[in-house]
Amino acid sequence: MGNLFSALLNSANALQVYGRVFSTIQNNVTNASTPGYVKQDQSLVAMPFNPAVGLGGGVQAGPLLSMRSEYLEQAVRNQQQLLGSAQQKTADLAQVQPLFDTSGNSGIPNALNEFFNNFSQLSVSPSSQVSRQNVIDAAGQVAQAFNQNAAGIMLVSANVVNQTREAVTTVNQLASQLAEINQHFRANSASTQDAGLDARLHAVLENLSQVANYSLIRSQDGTYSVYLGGQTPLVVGDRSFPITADFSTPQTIIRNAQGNDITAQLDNTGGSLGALIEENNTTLPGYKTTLDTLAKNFADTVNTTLSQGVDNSGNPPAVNLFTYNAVAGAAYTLAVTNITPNDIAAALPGAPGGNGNAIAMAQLANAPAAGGFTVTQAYGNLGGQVGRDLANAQQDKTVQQNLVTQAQQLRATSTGVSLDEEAAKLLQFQQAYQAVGKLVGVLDGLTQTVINMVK
Amino acid sequence: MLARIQSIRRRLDALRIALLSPSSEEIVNCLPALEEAVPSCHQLELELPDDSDPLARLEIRIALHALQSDLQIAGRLIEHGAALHQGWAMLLAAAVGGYVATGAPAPLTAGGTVSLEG
Repeated sequence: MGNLFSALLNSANALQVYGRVFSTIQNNVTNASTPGYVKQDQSLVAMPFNPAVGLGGGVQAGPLLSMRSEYLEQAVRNQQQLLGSAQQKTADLAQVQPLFDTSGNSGIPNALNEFFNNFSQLSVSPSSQVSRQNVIDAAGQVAQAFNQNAAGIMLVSANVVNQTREAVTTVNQLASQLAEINQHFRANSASTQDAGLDARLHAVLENLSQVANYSLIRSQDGTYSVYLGGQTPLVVGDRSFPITADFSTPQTIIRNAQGNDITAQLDNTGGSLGALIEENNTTLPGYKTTLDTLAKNFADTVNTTLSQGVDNSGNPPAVNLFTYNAVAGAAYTLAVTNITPNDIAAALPGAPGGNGNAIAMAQLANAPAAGGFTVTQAYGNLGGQVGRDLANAQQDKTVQQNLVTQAQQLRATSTGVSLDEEAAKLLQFQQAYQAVGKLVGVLDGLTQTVINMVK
Repeated sequence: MLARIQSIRRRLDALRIALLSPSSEEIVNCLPALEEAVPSCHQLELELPDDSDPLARLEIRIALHALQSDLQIAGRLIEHGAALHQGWAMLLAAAVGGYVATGAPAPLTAGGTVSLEG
């Protein structure tokens, strides 16, 4: 009878245990699409069996095993950081590039072309009031083109500032969520086995990786601490330490909870926030400075050349053609003065009424203005730089999208099956990568050779 | 020549898709096509249009830069995948075999069986 009871108990117990196995499988299926969820495996443990001493054997449920690989999770987060940065740069630079039309059909190149052409026309009829007025109008077009270009960059900068505020808000919200999850872990150690809580935790971590660069440390109590830039505590245990964005200066400053400047820890270190900081503190100011230098050099050269001639009355010109405010930005503030058509110094001092200075002005189109380049070429170089920056960002984004997909696919197939199978699989991969790596390297070298021949 | 470049790009795209999937078999299946692409790439040098056709040269240059971009993506995927698997192998080896005297994980070996038929 004892044996019969044992057998019945064992069977009933086994049914209960296998019921848990099926519940686990059901939960895996139900949560297949839940962000951050990984498969759970109900482990089984054989109970002691020794009929001689009354141990009836059977099976009991062991711990719930997560199939999560923290190594692969970190690999996905690393690539997400880089993708977040590349996506942000691509989106923002795509707003800048249209400002720089280097085709000559519009914008600054077209305005410069018209300006110098009008001086050519003036050289044909230097006393013509119509030609003189056309020169002033064309100068106004150049000033307006520079103003619009500069204003466009300032508008992009304003967008970047707004997006930086949103990114900081997102970081703080995710930090709060993580702190709240840590509270559960601290309050009840068994909750570290909770698949749902674990899924939420890793979803938050992955979302955070798209925004900012951080390091992650897991404590013995199961809580996760986050350090921005590897240094600044954002979440420690069940407490979060919000960051703030300070725009009291033209540069973006990110401050920790104590008000200290932590910008350098985040600038261009990954995530959309890193990209936004770099754009506002380096990239956009760089474009603006180059444009301002171009505008200043152009205005100064024109004013200097005109000052060397004489106006319609045979006198040195009393007023410049262009004015600007270097502090507020030469490109943004470039303007035509209250010069009149008779003030235009088209003639040279020794030949009043002539066209010598008008010719000299027209020839400025081909004269070195900045770094040995004409003003139009220098502007083209700036436009080219913007185009290259955007192309590089787009290529980075494409590469990173592929790398994120690769890391995610690998994570999804991590099953924790037998170690022998895993080892065999890894060795096969190593051999496959070596083989294709050699061929891609050969193809890359051949392609570069052909590109060099086509140039 | 453009057709040849497009053909190489298609093979690289197949490799890219294989590199995204967590299967070494799919990567190895791309090897024959890549091996054929190498002499095809050599052939490009012989088919360059001369200087009298600048438009054709421009088209070729654009296509070659696109090919170079595809090669960069494939190269990064190979580097990244290899680094991931290498790291994973080190973790597995350490978990299974511990560490050697130098502090490096023990070499990873895969268990196998030998069967004989008489």
